[in-house]
Amino acid sequence: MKYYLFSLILISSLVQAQGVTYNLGRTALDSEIQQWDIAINPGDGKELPQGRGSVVDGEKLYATKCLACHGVDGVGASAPRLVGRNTMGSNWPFASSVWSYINRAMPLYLEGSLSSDEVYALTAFLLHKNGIIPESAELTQANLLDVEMPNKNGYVPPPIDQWEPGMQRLFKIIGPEY
Amino acid sequence: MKNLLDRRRFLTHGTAMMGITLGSIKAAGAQTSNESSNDVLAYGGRSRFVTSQRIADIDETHRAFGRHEGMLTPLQDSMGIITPNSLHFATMQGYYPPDINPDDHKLIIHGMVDRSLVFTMDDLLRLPSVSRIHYLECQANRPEVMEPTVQGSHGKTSCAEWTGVLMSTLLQEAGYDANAKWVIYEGAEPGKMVKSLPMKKALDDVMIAYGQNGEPIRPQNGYPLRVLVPGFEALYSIKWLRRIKVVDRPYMGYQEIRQYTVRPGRQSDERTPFYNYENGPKSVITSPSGEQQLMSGPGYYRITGLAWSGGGAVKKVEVSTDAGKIWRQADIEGPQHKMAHTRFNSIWKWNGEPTHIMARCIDEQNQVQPSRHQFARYWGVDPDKLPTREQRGSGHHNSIQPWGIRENGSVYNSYAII
Repeated sequence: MKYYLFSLILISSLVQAQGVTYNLGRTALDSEIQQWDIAINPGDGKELPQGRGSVVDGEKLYATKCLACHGVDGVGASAPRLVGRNTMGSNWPFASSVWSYINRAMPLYLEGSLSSDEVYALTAFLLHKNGIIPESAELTQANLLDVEMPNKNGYVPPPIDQWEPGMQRLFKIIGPEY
Repeated sequence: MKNLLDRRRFLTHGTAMMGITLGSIKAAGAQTSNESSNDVLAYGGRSRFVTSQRIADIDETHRAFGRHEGMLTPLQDSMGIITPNSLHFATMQGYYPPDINPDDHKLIIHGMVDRSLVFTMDDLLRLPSVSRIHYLECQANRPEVMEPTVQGSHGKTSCAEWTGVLMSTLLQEAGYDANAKWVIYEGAEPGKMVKSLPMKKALDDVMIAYGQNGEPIRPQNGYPLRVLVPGFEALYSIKWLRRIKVVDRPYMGYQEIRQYTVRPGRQSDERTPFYNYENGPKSVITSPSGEQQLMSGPGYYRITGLAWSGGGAVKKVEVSTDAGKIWRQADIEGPQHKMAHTRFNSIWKWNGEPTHIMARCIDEQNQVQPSRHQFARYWGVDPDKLPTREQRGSGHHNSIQPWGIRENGSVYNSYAII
């Protein structure tokens, strides 16, 4: 009996080490992953789809698709300002975040209606309006991550390796007993 | 807004009066009961005398209720530690909840995994499940000088029993890469909000939840599926979840940049941390609280409130009834779960003189909730300007909320005074 129990424990721990699988869920199709894989890695931009768009193209698109809410030249209207202090131009550390957000969430109520080329063009236009890239610029999947955002060093790297379950908060507030 | 405030004031008085009128059977019997309604019978409604409800964040009254930032929990009426699903706070980030048929919903898990998988809701219901009681708190939940009620200042926190699958179970099913340091995950609403989370936390206690207090999660809280990240600011707990990707770095989505980085206010040369994680130790007296009334003059009153901490369980709560000179340990009413609201009570004999009452939380890590002045000193900002959006440190603001008591028994927000 003792041996039987022992071997049972041994077997179950072996199974644990290999990773229990419930065989639930089906294999994802490449096509369905591609359709939803819309967050852009700010390091290598590997999720960016092929496409291209220029500042000039973006200016025309902006006038028809964005201006009504974001105002002339991105100064803001019913929707937030896009140019200047405390906007994507001055605050956001990565151009990938701009592309990703326009692509996923704009225009309001017509989310997902822009083509990749249109998203590159609008990104180019807004970066130009913020004085980051020249009027002659064209953005593609190959050069978007080369854009140097003014605030690229403005964020402390995430203290991921310091975080452990049960540890004290990283940005601790001093309490009365300190 | 004014109407709501007036209504709440009336309710407070009405509730206090109920003890007197309960004996009057004639009055109750003469009234037509609303229990003839089929809805009320089949899905139990509440008494017509109970009208506590969520309100819009005061800044948001010009916008559509339920689409923008705040739907605030009426903490002043709360009992115990569980928030009823109808009253759970919700911040909507600009979108009404998507109308998701659970039969069509799917969750993809991919990225740095051996097997990219698609789970249906039925698949998820077959996996091992856990039920845990956890609070959620928006990082912008804080004392507000201009906000008269506890609902307005602290209503962006609620607590529920959540049921679902551990994220670690799904990650193991997919066979995650041991070198992966982060996961990102995304919702199915029009804005498709995305959030980055350290893998260590994902493997620790994060839930993929489908149940809320014994029934499916409500649409505004993420039906049919949401992430629940215990103890972290509620932004991490993405709703209407449809995708998890195992990755090697944080991705910096829109909400991660625009609103939810807390910049140290001390000096401009300090840089912005990418993210914050746990909410600090916090508590608030829910009754008596702003705009309520000590109805019958001097005598015994029950001070009751909620305490919670992202750092674990609440160890103890202290209450002061003399503007912070003397602190006494409060009674803990019920369970003290980790990262959950904890109800405290303290019976107080009011002598009829004006005073200030307040509570502070001490969690199991011995973190102590700070006063306004301690909080301001830590962040290097002017305490008289707390909290404002301009003064950094406005998010993750966990300083002590005092309530002033006037000689006539009326209760007001005295944050600016204490």
